[in-house]
Amino acid sequence: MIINKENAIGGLNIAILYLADKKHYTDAVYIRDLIKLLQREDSEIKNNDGQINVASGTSNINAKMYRF
Amino acid sequence: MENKKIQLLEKPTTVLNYYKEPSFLIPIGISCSWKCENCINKEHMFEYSYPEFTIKEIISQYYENILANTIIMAGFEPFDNYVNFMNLVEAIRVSGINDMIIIYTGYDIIDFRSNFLLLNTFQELTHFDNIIIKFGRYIEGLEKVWNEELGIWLASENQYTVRITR
Repeated sequence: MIINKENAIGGLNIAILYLADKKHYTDAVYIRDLIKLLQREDSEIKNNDGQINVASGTSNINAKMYRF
Repeated sequence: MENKKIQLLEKPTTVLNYYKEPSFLIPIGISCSWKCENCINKEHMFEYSYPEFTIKEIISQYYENILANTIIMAGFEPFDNYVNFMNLVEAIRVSGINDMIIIYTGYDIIDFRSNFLLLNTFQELTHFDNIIIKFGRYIEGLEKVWNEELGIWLASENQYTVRITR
């Protein structure tokens, strides 16, 4: 599945929540730092086709996330 | 005080949507003056009891969570549960944790002037460092608003933050 950077970050955010819930904090920290790298405007993580490639991902982290 | 048990809406957890970085959410408020349409916590509205945690357990969980460097206190409404709320803030600071605490309240800053309990709690909070308050209830139908300080979109445009101490 080829997706853009924003969606890749969405997928990684889901991974962070999952890992944190399982108390795998070291792995979650690693992914948090990876997201920070991705969020740099000049950052690019590309596969051989020159596109970001994430096995599965979605930016729809949580439909209720904006309501407090 | 560390062995004092307090009720939380649900267990403390890591969240990504209250601050620009992963944060430790303590849902301290178990009651609420507001009855916001489409409340984020509506699934908890009709529960008769909530899980209990000692303050020591909550602080230990935060220490264990190396991912989060910020504490969120939200609810329902933290200021409607001010005794447990203030006990927890004090215990966190006494334990040596000086990380940022962000409090999500539905009250507006104007409400604090006219309510003695609110004003008193607010004044007590100013004794602790590194505290931000997000003011304003969620109002269905209003546009969301970008908050630079938190680095996130807040749910409705009446909401804003004030850093009360550094």
